[in-house]
Amino acid sequence: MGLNPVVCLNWCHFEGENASVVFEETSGQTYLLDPLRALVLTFFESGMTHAEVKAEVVRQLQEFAPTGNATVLDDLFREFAALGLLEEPDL
Amino acid sequence: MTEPTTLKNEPPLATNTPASLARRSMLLKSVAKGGGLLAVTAGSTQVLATGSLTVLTHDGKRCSISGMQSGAYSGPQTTVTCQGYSPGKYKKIENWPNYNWSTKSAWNTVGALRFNQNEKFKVVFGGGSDRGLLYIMQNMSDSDEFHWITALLNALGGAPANFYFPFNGAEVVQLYKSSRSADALKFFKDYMEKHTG
Repeated sequence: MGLNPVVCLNWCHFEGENASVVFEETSGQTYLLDPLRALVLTFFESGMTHAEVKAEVVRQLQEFAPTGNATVLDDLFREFAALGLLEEPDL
Repeated sequence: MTEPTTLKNEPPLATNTPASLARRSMLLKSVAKGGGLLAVTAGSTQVLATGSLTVLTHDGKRCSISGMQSGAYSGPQTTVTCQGYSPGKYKKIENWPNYNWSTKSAWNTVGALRFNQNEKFKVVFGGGSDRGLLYIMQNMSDSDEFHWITALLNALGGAPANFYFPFNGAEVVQLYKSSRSADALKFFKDYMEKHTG
């Protein structure tokens, strides 16, 4: 399970603002994302599954600092699924 | 707001080009500075009201395979309803998109495949019935293929633009082949077959 197969994303990143804007073509929706949400969505866009994204986020963040509880990512996955961006996670 | 660092014609972050990896690294550093995974509870995905329409099903759910399984949408109020024609419309070849009255055929294209009403379902969709598309519409109303063809024809222009049918032809075929084909079929049957022809 990963990105909804009909999702098509177009990105703009505002580095100084720590924000990303992404336009989703199928729904016509435009979203404002913080860096974590943008990072997670880009991992899904690369073809990763829910489990792979969770492992990769934890692995990469641990290089910078202790990351906290990775189960909070499940809430983020549900948030994206409710918006139609992801397939329903197997949680 | 500062100038954006990614433009639409640049490689998407999903690729592994140096530019994409650099932007992903930028995001990672921003995440680490912002408290790591704590950002999940501190932040949210905001829908920007940029003038685009929100497309909903007839009972108020977001018009997508996943969205229709969520609760009712409660965002900005500029909405339209997505819909399609019911299968009955397409039992008549005259109602198919791109029907030609001289040749009495309807030629359409999905991806690289050009096909007419007699093409086998499995050739168009990559699986399923060996029967022709129109034959299925006229004789196999109990089949799943009956609804998949309806969705495809709605996507190819059978449903007018103001129906906001949410997928194009290639996407319908892709959904048929995907791991969510059962959910997609239910979505089409429950939500997209509302108008009689």
